[in-house]
Amino acid sequence: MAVSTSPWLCGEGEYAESVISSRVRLARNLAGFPFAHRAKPEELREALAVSKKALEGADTLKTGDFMLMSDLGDLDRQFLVERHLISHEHAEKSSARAVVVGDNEMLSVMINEEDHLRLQSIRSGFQVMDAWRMVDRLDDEIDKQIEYAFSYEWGYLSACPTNTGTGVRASMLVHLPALVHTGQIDKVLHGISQMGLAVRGFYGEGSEVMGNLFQISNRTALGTSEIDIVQSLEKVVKQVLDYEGKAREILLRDARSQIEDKVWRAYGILKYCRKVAHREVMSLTSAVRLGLCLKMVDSISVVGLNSMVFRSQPAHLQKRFGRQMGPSERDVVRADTVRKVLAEEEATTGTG
Amino acid sequence: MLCDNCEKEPAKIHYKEIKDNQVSEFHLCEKCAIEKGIQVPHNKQPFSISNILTGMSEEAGSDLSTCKACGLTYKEFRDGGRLGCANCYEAFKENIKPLLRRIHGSNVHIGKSPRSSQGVFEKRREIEDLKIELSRSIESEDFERAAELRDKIKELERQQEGDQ
Repeated sequence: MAVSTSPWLCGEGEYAESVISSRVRLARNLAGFPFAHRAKPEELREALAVSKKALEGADTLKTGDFMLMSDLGDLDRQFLVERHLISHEHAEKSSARAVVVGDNEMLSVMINEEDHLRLQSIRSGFQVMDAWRMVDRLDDEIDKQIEYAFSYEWGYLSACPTNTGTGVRASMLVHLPALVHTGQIDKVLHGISQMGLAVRGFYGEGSEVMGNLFQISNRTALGTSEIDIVQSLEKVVKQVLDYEGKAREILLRDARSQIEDKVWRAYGILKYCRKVAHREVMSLTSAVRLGLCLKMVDSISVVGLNSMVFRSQPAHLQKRFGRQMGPSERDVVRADTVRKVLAEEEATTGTG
Repeated sequence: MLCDNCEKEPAKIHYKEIKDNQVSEFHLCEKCAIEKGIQVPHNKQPFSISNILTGMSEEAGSDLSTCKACGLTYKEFRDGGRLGCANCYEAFKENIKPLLRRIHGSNVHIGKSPRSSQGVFEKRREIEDLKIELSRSIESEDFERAAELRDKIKELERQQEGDQ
Protein backbone atom coordinates (compact mmCIF):
# COMPACT_ATOMS: atom_id res chain seq x y z
CA MET A 1 0.00 0.00 0.00
CA ALA A 2 1.52 3.27 -1.09
CA VAL A 3 1.94 6.15 1.33
CA SER A 4 -0.09 8.34 -0.97
CA THR A 5 -3.54 9.66 -0.30
CA SER A 6 -6.21 6.99 -0.11
CA PRO A 7 -8.03 6.70 -3.45
CA TRP A 8 -11.32 7.33 -1.70
CA LEU A 9 -10.11 10.84 -0.92
CA CYS A 10 -10.02 11.80 -4.56
CA GLY A 11 -12.48 14.64 -4.07
CA GLU A 12 -15.06 12.96 -6.30
CA GLY A 13 -18.74 12.85 -5.57
CA GLU A 14 -21.34 15.43 -4.72
CA TYR A 15 -20.58 18.01 -2.01
CA ALA A 16 -16.98 16.76 -1.98
CA GLU A 17 -15.68 20.07 -0.63
CA SER A 18 -17.74 19.57 2.54
CA VAL A 19 -18.28 15.82 2.70
CA ILE A 20 -14.86 14.20 2.93
CA SER A 21 -16.02 10.61 2.72
CA SER A 22 -18.94 8.19 2.95
CA ARG A 23 -18.65 4.82 4.59
CA VAL A 24 -20.85 1.78 5.15
CA ARG A 25 -19.84 -1.18 7.27
CA LEU A 26 -21.58 -4.48 7.85
CA ALA A 27 -21.16 -6.65 10.94
CA ARG A 28 -21.37 -10.37 10.14
CA ASN A 29 -20.66 -13.57 12.04
CA LEU A 30 -20.14 -17.15 10.97
CA ALA A 31 -22.82 -19.63 12.01
CA GLY A 32 -21.54 -22.39 14.25
CA PHE A 33 -18.65 -20.46 15.82
CA PRO A 34 -18.60 -18.59 19.13
CA PHE A 35 -18.16 -14.83 18.62
CA ALA A 36 -14.52 -13.74 18.42
CA HIS A 37 -14.09 -12.61 22.05
CA ARG A 38 -15.53 -15.91 23.32
CA ALA A 39 -13.79 -18.26 20.88
CA LYS A 40 -10.92 -20.52 21.92
CA PRO A 41 -7.64 -19.92 20.04
CA GLU A 42 -8.22 -22.90 17.73
CA GLU A 43 -11.80 -21.81 17.02
CA LEU A 44 -10.57 -18.32 16.23
CA ARG A 45 -7.97 -19.74 13.84
CA GLU A 46 -10.61 -21.87 12.15
CA ALA A 47 -12.97 -18.89 11.82
CA LEU A 48 -10.08 -16.98 10.25
CA ALA A 49 -9.38 -19.77 7.76
CA VAL A 50 -13.06 -20.07 6.78
CA SER A 51 -13.37 -16.31 6.38
CA LYS A 52 -10.17 -16.04 4.37
CA LYS A 53 -11.31 -18.71 1.96
CA ALA A 54 -14.69 -17.05 1.50
CA LEU A 55 -13.07 -13.69 0.79
CA GLU A 56 -10.72 -15.26 -1.75
CA GLY A 57 -13.77 -16.55 -3.53
CA ALA A 58 -15.48 -13.15 -3.55
CA ASP A 59 -15.08 -11.55 -6.98
CA THR A 60 -14.87 -7.97 -5.78
CA LEU A 61 -12.15 -8.72 -3.24
CA LYS A 62 -10.19 -11.69 -4.56
CA THR A 63 -7.24 -9.61 -5.72
CA GLY A 64 -7.09 -7.79 -2.39
CA ASP A 65 -4.20 -7.79 0.09
CA PHE A 66 -4.55 -10.25 2.94
CA MET A 67 -2.64 -9.12 6.01
CA LEU A 68 -2.35 -11.08 9.24
CA MET A 69 -2.19 -8.69 12.17
CA SER A 70 0.53 -10.81 13.77
CA ASP A 71 2.74 -10.18 10.71
CA LEU A 72 2.46 -6.43 11.06
CA GLY A 73 4.56 -4.22 13.30
CA ASP A 74 3.16 -1.39 15.43
CA LEU A 75 3.84 1.21 12.76
CA ASP A 76 2.02 -0.71 10.01
CA ARG A 77 -0.96 -1.24 12.25
CA GLN A 78 -1.11 2.41 13.14
CA PHE A 79 -0.84 3.20 9.45
CA LEU A 80 -3.93 1.07 8.74
CA VAL A 81 -5.82 2.82 11.54
CA GLU A 82 -4.94 6.19 10.04
CA ARG A 83 -6.24 5.02 6.67
CA HIS A 84 -9.51 4.05 8.36
CA LEU A 85 -9.01 0.43 7.32
CA ILE A 86 -8.87 -1.09 10.79
CA SER A 87 -10.09 -0.03 14.23
CA HIS A 88 -7.89 0.80 17.22
CA GLU A 89 -9.15 -2.40 18.88
CA HIS A 90 -8.14 -4.48 15.88
CA ALA A 91 -4.68 -2.91 15.89
CA GLU A 92 -4.17 -3.85 19.53
CA LYS A 93 -4.96 -7.55 19.24
CA SER A 94 -2.99 -9.88 17.07
CA SER A 95 -3.58 -13.62 17.25
CA ALA A 96 -5.73 -15.03 14.43
CA ARG A 97 -6.79 -11.57 13.33
CA ALA A 98 -6.48 -10.15 9.86
CA VAL A 99 -7.53 -7.50 7.40
CA VAL A 100 -8.16 -7.81 3.68
CA VAL A 101 -7.85 -4.62 1.68
CA GLY A 102 -9.27 -4.33 -1.83
CA ASP A 103 -7.34 -2.91 -4.78
CA ASN A 104 -8.22 0.72 -4.28
CA GLU A 105 -8.94 0.57 -0.54
CA MET A 106 -12.62 1.24 -1.20
CA LEU A 107 -13.50 -2.22 0.08
CA SER A 108 -11.94 -3.90 3.08
CA VAL A 109 -12.76 -6.57 5.63
CA MET A 110 -11.54 -6.99 9.19
CA ILE A 111 -11.51 -10.63 10.28
CA ASN A 112 -12.09 -11.55 13.93
CA GLU A 113 -12.57 -8.05 15.23
CA GLU A 114 -15.59 -7.81 17.54
CA ASP A 115 -17.48 -9.78 14.89
CA HIS A 116 -15.95 -12.46 12.67
CA LEU A 117 -16.35 -10.22 9.66
CA ARG A 118 -16.56 -6.47 9.42
CA LEU A 119 -17.10 -5.47 5.81
CA GLN A 120 -16.44 -1.88 4.90
CA SER A 121 -16.78 0.33 1.88
CA ILE A 122 -15.48 3.90 1.77
CA ARG A 123 -16.10 6.40 -1.01
CA SER A 124 -15.12 9.99 -1.54
CA GLY A 125 -17.72 12.71 -1.04
CA PHE A 126 -21.47 12.24 -0.67
CA GLN A 127 -21.66 8.71 -2.05
CA VAL A 128 -23.06 6.70 0.81
CA MET A 129 -25.58 4.90 -1.42
CA ASP A 130 -22.76 3.78 -3.72
CA ALA A 131 -20.80 2.66 -0.69
CA TRP A 132 -23.83 0.61 0.41
CA ARG A 133 -24.17 -0.99 -3.04
CA MET A 134 -20.50 -1.99 -3.06
CA VAL A 135 -20.55 -3.54 0.38
CA ASP A 136 -23.94 -5.17 -0.29
CA ARG A 137 -22.47 -6.88 -3.33
CA LEU A 138 -19.43 -8.09 -1.43
CA ASP A 139 -21.76 -9.38 1.28
CA ASP A 140 -23.73 -11.38 -1.32
CA GLU A 141 -20.52 -12.85 -2.70
CA ILE A 142 -19.40 -13.96 0.75
CA ASP A 143 -22.86 -15.26 1.57
CA LYS A 144 -22.64 -17.69 -1.36
CA GLN A 145 -19.77 -19.47 0.35
CA ILE A 146 -20.43 -19.44 4.06
CA GLU A 147 -23.36 -19.51 6.40
CA TYR A 148 -23.92 -16.36 8.43
CA ALA A 149 -25.30 -16.30 11.98
CA PHE A 150 -28.83 -15.09 11.31
CA SER A 151 -32.22 -15.15 13.00
CA TYR A 152 -35.52 -14.69 11.19
CA GLU A 153 -36.68 -12.49 13.98
CA TRP A 154 -33.59 -10.40 14.68
CA GLY A 155 -31.57 -10.51 11.51
CA TYR A 156 -27.77 -10.80 11.47
CA LEU A 157 -26.62 -11.69 14.96
CA SER A 158 -23.76 -9.68 16.35
CA ALA A 159 -21.56 -9.91 19.44
CA CYS A 160 -22.91 -6.56 20.56
CA PRO A 161 -26.71 -6.21 20.45
CA THR A 162 -26.36 -2.64 19.15
CA ASN A 163 -25.23 -4.07 15.80
CA THR A 164 -27.76 -6.88 15.56
CA GLY A 165 -30.31 -6.58 12.77
CA THR A 166 -28.92 -5.25 9.53
CA GLY A 167 -25.41 -4.92 10.99
CA VAL A 168 -25.21 -1.64 9.10
CA ARG A 169 -23.40 1.43 10.17
CA ALA A 170 -23.48 4.11 7.51
CA SER A 171 -21.58 7.33 8.09
CA MET A 172 -20.35 10.47 6.44
CA LEU A 173 -17.40 12.63 7.48
CA VAL A 174 -18.62 16.20 7.19
CA HIS A 175 -16.78 19.52 7.48
CA LEU A 176 -18.84 22.06 9.44
CA PRO A 177 -16.63 25.08 10.19
CA ALA A 178 -19.28 27.79 9.86
CA LEU A 179 -21.63 26.07 12.29
CA VAL A 180 -18.74 25.88 14.74
CA HIS A 181 -17.68 29.54 14.24
CA THR A 182 -21.22 30.85 14.56
CA GLY A 183 -21.76 28.80 17.72
CA GLN A 184 -24.68 26.84 16.29
CA ILE A 185 -22.98 23.47 16.19
CA ASP A 186 -24.25 22.22 19.56
CA LYS A 187 -27.80 22.92 18.54
CA VAL A 188 -27.33 21.08 15.26
CA LEU A 189 -25.58 18.12 16.91
CA HIS A 190 -28.39 17.93 19.43
CA GLY A 191 -30.89 17.89 16.58
CA ILE A 192 -28.97 15.11 14.84
CA SER A 193 -29.01 12.96 17.96
CA GLN A 194 -32.72 13.55 18.40
CA MET A 195 -33.25 12.18 14.92
CA GLY A 196 -31.66 8.93 16.04
CA LEU A 197 -28.24 9.50 14.54
CA ALA A 198 -24.88 9.66 16.27
CA VAL A 199 -21.98 12.09 15.87
CA ARG A 200 -18.39 11.01 16.35
CA GLY A 201 -14.90 12.34 15.73
CA PHE A 202 -12.36 11.91 12.97
CA TYR A 203 -11.37 8.32 13.76
CA GLY A 204 -14.90 7.12 14.51
CA GLU A 205 -16.14 5.63 17.75
CA GLY A 206 -14.60 7.12 20.87
CA SER A 207 -12.48 9.62 18.95
CA GLU A 208 -12.54 13.36 19.23
CA VAL A 209 -13.52 15.98 16.74
CA MET A 210 -10.55 17.60 14.96
CA GLY A 211 -10.49 20.21 12.23
CA ASN A 212 -14.28 20.71 12.42
CA LEU A 213 -14.79 17.26 10.90
CA PHE A 214 -17.80 15.40 12.25
CA GLN A 215 -18.73 11.82 11.52
CA ILE A 216 -22.48 11.47 11.34
CA SER A 217 -23.89 7.93 11.43
CA ASN A 218 -26.96 5.84 12.16
CA ARG A 219 -27.30 4.61 15.73
CA THR A 220 -29.80 1.81 15.34
CA ALA A 221 -29.57 -1.20 13.06
CA LEU A 222 -32.74 -3.21 13.72
CA GLY A 223 -36.26 -2.58 12.47
CA THR A 224 -35.21 -0.45 9.48
CA SER A 225 -34.05 -1.66 6.09
CA GLU A 226 -30.53 -0.94 4.87
CA ILE A 227 -31.79 1.40 2.17
CA ASP A 228 -33.90 3.30 4.71
CA ILE A 229 -30.88 3.67 7.00
CA VAL A 230 -28.79 5.04 4.14
CA GLN A 231 -31.53 7.33 2.88
CA SER A 232 -32.28 8.81 6.25
CA LEU A 233 -28.56 9.50 6.73
CA GLU A 234 -28.51 11.20 3.33
CA LYS A 235 -31.48 13.30 4.29
CA VAL A 236 -30.04 14.40 7.61
CA VAL A 237 -26.61 15.19 6.15
CA LYS A 238 -28.20 17.26 3.38
CA GLN A 239 -30.13 19.16 6.00
CA VAL A 240 -26.96 19.74 8.02
CA LEU A 241 -25.13 20.93 4.90
CA ASP A 242 -27.98 23.32 4.29
CA TYR A 243 -27.57 24.77 7.81
CA GLU A 244 -23.82 24.95 7.22
CA GLY A 245 -24.45 26.85 3.98
CA LYS A 246 -26.67 29.35 5.76
CA ALA A 247 -24.07 29.81 8.49
CA ARG A 248 -21.45 30.47 5.80
CA GLU A 249 -23.67 33.17 4.32
CA ILE A 250 -23.91 34.78 7.74
CA LEU A 251 -20.15 34.66 8.15
CA LEU A 252 -19.65 36.27 4.75
CA ARG A 253 -22.18 38.95 5.52
CA ASP A 254 -21.14 39.82 9.06
CA ALA A 255 -17.51 38.83 9.38
CA ARG A 256 -15.99 38.64 5.94
CA SER A 257 -12.72 40.33 6.82
CA GLN A 258 -12.24 38.22 9.95
CA ILE A 259 -12.83 35.02 8.00
CA GLU A 260 -10.57 36.14 5.18
CA ASP A 261 -7.88 36.94 7.70
CA LYS A 262 -8.28 33.55 9.40
CA VAL A 263 -8.16 31.71 6.07
CA TRP A 264 -5.06 33.48 4.81
CA ARG A 265 -3.21 33.28 8.11
CA ALA A 266 -3.84 29.53 8.06
CA TYR A 267 -2.66 29.40 4.45
CA GLY A 268 0.46 31.31 5.39
CA ILE A 269 1.33 28.94 8.21
CA LEU A 270 0.83 25.90 5.97
CA LYS A 271 3.04 27.52 3.36
CA TYR A 272 5.89 28.59 5.62
CA CYS A 273 5.79 26.45 8.76
CA ARG A 274 8.92 24.60 9.84
CA LYS A 275 7.37 22.56 12.68
CA VAL A 276 3.73 21.66 12.99
CA ALA A 277 1.60 19.21 14.99
CA HIS A 278 -1.04 17.04 13.34
CA ARG A 279 -3.83 18.66 15.29
CA GLU A 280 -2.69 22.03 14.02
CA VAL A 281 -2.66 20.82 10.41
CA MET A 282 -6.23 19.64 10.93
CA SER A 283 -7.27 23.03 12.16
CA LEU A 284 -5.32 25.00 9.51
CA THR A 285 -6.62 22.89 6.64
CA SER A 286 -10.12 23.37 8.02
CA ALA A 287 -9.73 27.14 7.70
CA VAL A 288 -8.28 26.89 4.19
CA ARG A 289 -11.02 24.43 3.17
CA LEU A 290 -13.57 26.99 4.29
CA GLY A 291 -11.72 29.64 2.27
CA LEU A 292 -11.84 27.35 -0.76
CA CYS A 293 -15.60 26.84 -0.38
CA LEU A 294 -16.13 30.59 0.01
CA LYS A 295 -14.03 31.21 -3.11
CA MET A 296 -11.44 33.21 -1.18
CA VAL A 297 -8.70 30.74 -2.10
CA ASP A 298 -8.19 29.06 -5.46
CA SER A 299 -4.59 27.95 -5.32
CA ILE A 300 -5.29 24.64 -3.59
CA SER A 301 -7.77 21.87 -4.33
CA VAL A 302 -9.92 19.68 -2.09
CA VAL A 303 -7.65 16.77 -2.98
CA GLY A 304 -4.61 18.79 -1.89
CA LEU A 305 -6.18 19.52 1.47
CA ASN A 306 -7.27 15.89 1.95
CA SER A 307 -3.75 14.86 1.07
CA MET A 308 -2.23 17.19 3.69
CA VAL A 309 -4.55 15.85 6.38
CA PHE A 310 -3.78 12.24 5.58
CA ARG A 311 -0.10 12.41 4.83
CA SER A 312 0.68 14.37 7.96
CA GLN A 313 -0.63 11.67 10.29
CA PRO A 314 2.13 10.21 12.50
CA ALA A 315 2.33 6.69 11.03
CA HIS A 316 2.04 8.03 7.47
CA LEU A 317 5.08 10.25 8.03
CA GLN A 318 7.10 7.48 9.60
CA LYS A 319 6.18 5.02 6.87
CA ARG A 320 7.21 7.46 4.19
CA PHE A 321 10.57 8.13 5.77
CA GLY A 322 10.95 4.47 6.64
CA ARG A 323 11.78 4.86 10.31
CA GLN A 324 10.45 5.52 13.78
CA MET A 325 10.44 9.20 14.76
CA GLY A 326 9.67 11.02 17.97
CA PRO A 327 6.94 13.69 18.09
CA SER A 328 9.38 16.57 17.71
CA GLU A 329 11.08 15.14 14.61
CA ARG A 330 7.67 14.28 13.16
CA ASP A 331 6.59 17.89 13.54
CA VAL A 332 9.55 18.95 11.41
CA VAL A 333 8.99 16.41 8.61
CA ARG A 334 5.27 17.12 8.77
CA ALA A 335 5.96 20.80 8.08
CA ASP A 336 8.15 19.77 5.12
CA THR A 337 5.40 17.50 3.79
CA VAL A 338 2.69 20.13 4.13
CA ARG A 339 4.81 22.81 2.42
CA LYS A 340 5.65 20.44 -0.39
CA VAL A 341 2.01 19.52 -1.02
CA LEU A 342 1.07 23.20 -1.03
CA ALA A 343 3.91 24.11 -3.42
CA GLU A 344 2.80 21.34 -5.80
CA GLU A 345 -0.77 22.55 -5.63
CA GLU A 346 0.29 26.11 -6.38
CA ALA A 347 2.38 24.93 -9.30
CA THR A 348 -0.61 23.00 -10.71
CA THR A 349 -3.02 25.88 -10.33
CA GLY A 350 -0.46 28.40 -11.55
CA THR A 351 -0.88 30.61 -8.51
CA GLY A 352 0.95 31.20 -5.28
CA MET B 1 1.85 20.13 29.27
CA LEU B 2 0.86 20.78 32.88
CA CYS B 3 -2.59 21.63 34.16
CA ASP B 4 -3.34 25.39 33.95
CA ASN B 5 -4.96 25.26 37.35
CA CYS B 6 -2.80 23.21 39.73
CA GLU B 7 0.33 23.27 37.56
CA LYS B 8 1.26 19.87 38.97
CA GLU B 9 -0.64 17.16 37.12
CA PRO B 10 -0.37 16.66 33.35
CA ALA B 11 -3.19 18.37 31.45
CA LYS B 12 -5.58 15.84 29.98
CA ILE B 13 -8.70 17.86 29.33
CA HIS B 14 -8.40 20.48 26.62
CA TYR B 15 -11.32 22.70 25.93
CA LYS B 16 -12.31 26.03 24.52
CA GLU B 17 -14.71 28.45 26.05
CA ILE B 18 -16.42 31.09 23.96
CA LYS B 19 -17.58 34.04 26.02
CA ASP B 20 -18.49 37.46 24.63
CA ASN B 21 -16.98 36.48 21.29
CA GLN B 22 -13.64 35.75 22.95
CA VAL B 23 -12.26 32.25 22.67
CA SER B 24 -10.19 31.11 25.62
CA GLU B 25 -8.39 27.80 25.71
CA PHE B 26 -7.94 25.72 28.86
CA HIS B 27 -5.78 22.73 29.60
CA LEU B 28 -6.62 20.97 32.84
CA CYS B 29 -5.89 17.74 34.62
CA GLU B 30 -8.86 15.45 35.20
CA LYS B 31 -9.16 16.35 38.87
CA CYS B 32 -9.25 20.12 38.29
CA ALA B 33 -11.64 19.67 35.36
CA ILE B 34 -14.09 17.77 37.54
CA GLU B 35 -13.72 20.38 40.30
CA LYS B 36 -14.57 23.09 37.79
CA GLY B 37 -17.67 21.16 36.84
CA ILE B 38 -16.53 20.31 33.33
CA GLN B 39 -17.90 17.09 31.97
CA VAL B 40 -15.00 14.74 31.48
CA PRO B 41 -15.50 12.73 28.30
CA HIS B 42 -15.00 9.01 28.53
CA ASN B 43 -12.64 7.42 26.07
CA LYS B 44 -14.63 4.24 26.20
CA GLN B 45 -17.78 3.72 24.19
CA PRO B 46 -20.16 6.52 25.05
CA PHE B 47 -23.09 4.17 24.52
CA SER B 48 -22.62 1.29 26.88
CA ILE B 49 -24.79 -1.79 26.87
CA SER B 50 -23.89 -2.52 30.46
CA ASN B 51 -25.40 0.81 31.46
CA ILE B 52 -28.64 0.03 29.73
CA LEU B 53 -28.68 -3.47 31.15
CA THR B 54 -28.10 -2.27 34.68
CA GLY B 55 -30.82 0.29 34.15
CA MET B 56 -33.34 -2.33 33.14
CA SER B 57 -35.42 -4.10 35.71
CA GLU B 58 -34.45 -7.72 35.60
CA GLU B 59 -36.45 -10.74 36.48
CA ALA B 60 -35.01 -12.38 39.55
CA GLY B 61 -32.79 -15.32 38.73
CA SER B 62 -32.05 -14.39 35.11
CA ASP B 63 -28.45 -13.67 36.08
CA LEU B 64 -27.97 -17.37 36.65
CA SER B 65 -29.17 -18.56 33.27
CA THR B 66 -26.43 -19.89 31.00
CA CYS B 67 -26.05 -20.37 27.28
CA LYS B 68 -25.64 -24.10 26.70
CA ALA B 69 -23.66 -23.62 23.50
CA CYS B 70 -20.86 -21.35 24.72
CA GLY B 71 -21.29 -21.34 28.50
CA LEU B 72 -21.74 -17.57 28.83
CA THR B 73 -23.86 -16.62 31.84
CA TYR B 74 -26.37 -13.83 31.68
CA LYS B 75 -24.40 -12.07 34.38
CA GLU B 76 -21.28 -12.13 32.20
CA PHE B 77 -23.29 -10.57 29.40
CA ARG B 78 -24.62 -7.91 31.77
CA ASP B 79 -21.10 -7.07 32.90
CA GLY B 80 -19.34 -7.22 29.55
CA GLY B 81 -22.09 -6.16 27.15
CA ARG B 82 -21.10 -8.81 24.59
CA LEU B 83 -22.93 -12.04 23.78
CA GLY B 84 -20.87 -15.20 23.40
CA CYS B 85 -22.43 -16.83 20.34
CA ALA B 86 -25.50 -16.86 18.11
CA ASN B 87 -27.22 -19.27 20.48
CA CYS B 88 -27.00 -16.76 23.36
CA TYR B 89 -29.78 -14.86 21.60
CA GLU B 90 -32.02 -17.95 22.06
CA ALA B 91 -30.77 -18.71 25.55
CA PHE B 92 -31.45 -15.21 26.88
CA LYS B 93 -34.37 -14.53 24.56
CA GLU B 94 -36.70 -13.17 27.24
CA ASN B 95 -34.11 -10.57 28.27
CA ILE B 96 -32.77 -9.85 24.80
CA LYS B 97 -36.15 -9.03 23.33
CA PRO B 98 -36.84 -5.95 25.48
CA LEU B 99 -33.16 -5.00 25.30
CA LEU B 100 -33.20 -4.88 21.49
CA ARG B 101 -36.37 -2.86 21.58
CA ARG B 102 -34.74 -0.49 24.00
CA ILE B 103 -31.64 -0.04 21.85
CA HIS B 104 -33.21 0.04 18.39
CA GLY B 105 -36.79 1.03 19.04
CA SER B 106 -37.79 -2.25 17.40
CA ASN B 107 -37.13 -5.94 17.77
CA VAL B 108 -38.12 -7.21 14.36
CA HIS B 109 -35.58 -7.39 11.56
CA ILE B 110 -36.48 -5.71 8.30
CA GLY B 111 -33.87 -5.78 5.60
CA LYS B 112 -31.72 -8.19 3.72
CA SER B 113 -31.37 -11.82 4.62
CA PRO B 114 -28.79 -14.44 3.73
CA ARG B 115 -29.21 -16.60 0.67
CA SER B 116 -29.77 -19.68 2.86
CA SER B 117 -32.87 -18.17 4.41
CA GLN B 118 -34.31 -16.63 1.30
CA GLY B 119 -37.69 -17.84 0.26
CA VAL B 120 -38.56 -18.73 3.83
CA PHE B 121 -37.78 -15.25 5.01
CA GLU B 122 -39.44 -13.52 2.11
CA LYS B 123 -42.56 -15.63 2.54
CA ARG B 124 -42.74 -14.77 6.22
CA ARG B 125 -42.49 -11.07 5.40
CA GLU B 126 -45.18 -11.44 2.78
CA ILE B 127 -47.48 -13.13 5.30
CA GLU B 128 -46.86 -10.36 7.82
CA ASP B 129 -47.60 -7.68 5.23
CA LEU B 130 -50.79 -9.45 4.22
CA LYS B 131 -51.86 -9.70 7.86
CA ILE B 132 -51.45 -5.96 8.24
CA GLU B 133 -53.50 -5.42 5.10
CA LEU B 134 -56.10 -7.87 6.40
CA SER B 135 -56.61 -5.99 9.64
CA ARG B 136 -56.85 -2.74 7.67
CA SER B 137 -59.51 -4.13 5.36
CA ILE B 138 -61.48 -5.42 8.36
CA GLU B 139 -61.29 -1.97 9.92
CA SER B 140 -62.56 -0.38 6.73
CA GLU B 141 -65.24 -3.11 6.52
CA ASP B 142 -64.04 -4.31 3.14
CA PHE B 143 -64.96 -7.90 3.93
CA GLU B 144 -64.66 -9.15 0.39
CA ARG B 145 -60.99 -8.10 0.29
CA ALA B 146 -60.53 -9.47 3.82
CA ALA B 147 -61.76 -12.90 2.78
CA GLU B 148 -59.41 -12.89 -0.19
CA LEU B 149 -56.50 -11.95 2.02
CA ARG B 150 -57.40 -14.57 4.63
CA ASP B 151 -57.33 -17.29 1.99
CA LYS B 152 -54.05 -16.07 0.60
CA ILE B 153 -52.47 -16.03 4.06
CA LYS B 154 -53.73 -19.55 4.74
CA GLU B 155 -52.27 -20.76 1.45
CA LEU B 156 -48.89 -19.17 2.16
CA GLU B 157 -48.79 -20.56 5.67
CA ARG B 158 -49.54 -24.01 4.35
CA GLN B 159 -46.68 -23.66 1.85
CA GLN B 160 -44.38 -22.47 4.61
CA GLU B 161 -45.16 -25.52 6.75
CA GLY B 162 -44.40 -27.66 3.72
CA ASP B 163 -41.00 -25.97 3.32
CA GLN B 164 -39.90 -26.52 6.87
